[in-house]
Amino acid sequence: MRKLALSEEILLQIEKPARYIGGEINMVKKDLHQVDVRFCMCFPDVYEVGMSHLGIQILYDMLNKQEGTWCERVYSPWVDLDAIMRREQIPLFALESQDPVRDFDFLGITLQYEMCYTNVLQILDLAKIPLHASDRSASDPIVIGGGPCSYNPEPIAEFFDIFYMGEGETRYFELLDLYRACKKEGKSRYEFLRAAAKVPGMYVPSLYRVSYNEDGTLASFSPLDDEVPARVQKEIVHDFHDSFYPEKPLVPYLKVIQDRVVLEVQRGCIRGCRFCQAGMVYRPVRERSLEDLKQLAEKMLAATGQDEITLSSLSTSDYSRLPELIGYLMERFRDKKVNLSLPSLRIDAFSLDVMSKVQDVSKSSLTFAPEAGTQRMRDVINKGLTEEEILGGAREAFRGGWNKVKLYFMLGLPGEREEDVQGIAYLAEKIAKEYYALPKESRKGKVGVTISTSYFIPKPFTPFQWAPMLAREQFLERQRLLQATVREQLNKKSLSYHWHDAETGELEGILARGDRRLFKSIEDAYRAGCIFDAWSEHFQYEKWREVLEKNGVSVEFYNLRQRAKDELLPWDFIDIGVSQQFLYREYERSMQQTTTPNCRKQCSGCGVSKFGCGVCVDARTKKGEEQHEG
Amino acid sequence: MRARIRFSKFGSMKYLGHLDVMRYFQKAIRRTDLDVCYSEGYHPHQLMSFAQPLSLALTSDGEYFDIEFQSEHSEAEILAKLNAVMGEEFAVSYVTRRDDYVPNTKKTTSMSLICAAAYYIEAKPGTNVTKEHVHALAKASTFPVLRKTKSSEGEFDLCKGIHEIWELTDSEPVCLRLDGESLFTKDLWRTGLANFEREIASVGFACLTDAGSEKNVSAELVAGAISRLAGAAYRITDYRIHRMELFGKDEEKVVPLWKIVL
Repeated sequence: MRKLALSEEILLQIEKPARYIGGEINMVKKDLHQVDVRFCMCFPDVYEVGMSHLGIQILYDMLNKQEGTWCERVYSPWVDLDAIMRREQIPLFALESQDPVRDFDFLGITLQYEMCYTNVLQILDLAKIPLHASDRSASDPIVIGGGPCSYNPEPIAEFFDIFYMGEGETRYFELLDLYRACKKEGKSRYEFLRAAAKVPGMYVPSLYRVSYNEDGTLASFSPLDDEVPARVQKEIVHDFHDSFYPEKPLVPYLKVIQDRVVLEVQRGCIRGCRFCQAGMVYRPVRERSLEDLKQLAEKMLAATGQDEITLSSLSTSDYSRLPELIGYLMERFRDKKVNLSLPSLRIDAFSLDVMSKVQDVSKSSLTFAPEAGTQRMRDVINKGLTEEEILGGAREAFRGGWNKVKLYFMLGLPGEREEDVQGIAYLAEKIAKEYYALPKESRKGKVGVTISTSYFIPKPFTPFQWAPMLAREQFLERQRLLQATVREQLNKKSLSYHWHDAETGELEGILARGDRRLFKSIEDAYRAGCIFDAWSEHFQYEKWREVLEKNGVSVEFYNLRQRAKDELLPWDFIDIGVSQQFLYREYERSMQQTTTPNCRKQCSGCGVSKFGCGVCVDARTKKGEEQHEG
Repeated sequence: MRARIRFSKFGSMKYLGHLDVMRYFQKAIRRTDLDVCYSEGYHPHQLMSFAQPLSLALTSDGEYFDIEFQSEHSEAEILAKLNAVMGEEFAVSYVTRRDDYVPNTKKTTSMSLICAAAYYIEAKPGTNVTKEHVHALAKASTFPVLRKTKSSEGEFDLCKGIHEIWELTDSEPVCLRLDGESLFTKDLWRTGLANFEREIASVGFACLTDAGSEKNVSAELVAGAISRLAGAAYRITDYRIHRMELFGKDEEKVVPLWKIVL
């Protein structure tokens, strides 16, 4: 029997023990005698969430391709096992070898959302790694963070030795080889970290010093000495053809959230929605070639036996070869009964045609993400979707047999007025009216229009990074206004309204644009028992409030105030390629309700052309676009 | 063609539940190039049916499912192709080609054929179970237990559902209880424990119980009776339970499912 870190006694008293046994199909095992660097990759949430993440699968495959490196995985133990591990002093272990994480050379933690920060501390604590980077010794793993939240790593900088800025495919081998060399030469942890800071993309927080003004804003942010780079530029894959992608992804035994083969068709987005961090930090859009995608689909399906494949990207409708790709996948795998699961495509004649072929129209619902209820507001956020496009899409869909529509919006966008909130309900009502305008014989029962709202949270590296966020009470007022307006509509029985809670949003806002001083509150919240904050049933708002109050963290300072154009922001030392001038120009244009064309229509000079790749240089996609539109 | 597959689930795979095992095999078959048949509709599923669910915490050398393929394959080909894609702690042991289904007759499934199951049950060292408790159960003429079925919960005489009990010692197994002809053949001792490592220090015994949808006696019910005799509350972690075989009726004879070609 494979060695397991947990006893049968424990495994049989917890929920879903298969979360902790590893041994999945395509799991990588290596002979420890042939391994000189052990890397543990962590997604700080429960197994079913973490196993659904593409980024880890890419890095797992890549790192294991390097001779001498063994990359394993760990996820957050669920609360039931968490309690047992603390009580019985069981150290956190990796799934592959079942060995303690503390014995590894590296612990890599992907930071996908701010609400996972207490889980990061859970991981370190259960692994018996000192929470503060400054307390770690030669025998502790190097703790390295990556992923979207590392675009403002400051609130958690205290807990990490290194942050890898940008896309993981480019610099890991170099970093691990540097580690090998340092180990061989008997260099200290500090010497390694100093050397690592010179590898492009690496940010070593302990090598920087910050100071604050009296009003609490950042006064300075500077490296300790001249050898440490003052700015850290994000890493980026120039051409996916020469990069990595797992041909044999892991196949979990448990039903995970993304239980299917994931085909990333492109990275980045041409759209430039002003609230969207991913749309800015992953610029420029870079496509994978149709040929590569066909081959990957073939290999991954054969190696996993999955019965579903999905296309992944920020805006799959913008992939220039989408019709060919979908046509190929449908044709090639029809006999093998592979289900094509389509992400939210832009609703048009093409996508409706495809969807009607791959899903049961009577059961599925149609998704629109207008994000805002009025055209004025959609212009503010640069969401290039007009009311006519939405109503026309809905009309076509209803004719095609759909009768359920889901709509996603944000409340509290910069400059939002009462009429913009009410506009959400009016738009939903107009969609319902479109349905009832159809002749009775072509309708199938009642229409169902679902409105979902989340609260707008300004994020770093977006044009709204300077903008104030609304207070919890203001969010609740707008939610109530919308609810009341929905109830006034003629077709109110066909409309249903769901909203997110405003408490999570408040904390997420603080953490998203926070600075180094917040580490204390995160640590205190964790010590007070906060964990799995991203799970509404585990989020303890009252505890967080107490901790923030005790530490003098002001919601007003972090969330509600307008930041000045010349304020030094905690993340300003990071260079994502997009210039601050561009972001501010976009902020000004938003206030004038002026839209900005997408990257394929016209270059707006955001700055990422300096990387010399993707849409910025790609004549092929430009040509493709012309053909598409012609 | 239709085939019946016998497989083993062992080691750490005991922590998978029945649904996980089903999903595992659906994917495993798709990793081969065998042309499995699918149902119609928007969500086609493989024409595959499992004989009897095995609970989480149990291992087995006697698991079965039925499956249909579009074209003819030899038993050896199916066996080799499935074993080429198995995980470390799953193995396919027999593939039985089944006679083609005759129109207007009811399709026989493994599930409908099942009438008995053989289990090996081991009380872990540290529990107060001794071989005397096993002897006591074997000698009992009546042993009322509470049994829950889908429809009802009521008292039931466990002795009516246990037909054989064998004590495992260092040498040959010793029969402690037997109604009628024994199904514990040399083959069964070999194939039923192929992927189970006995713990010599434990008290171990094998039993044959009624199985199937009508009058199932689970191994946990038997282990629970032993705990009661030992004066302890039943805990699954006090035992290691391994299914050795599932049996069905072929005409009037009771044989391992893989021997039935219907």
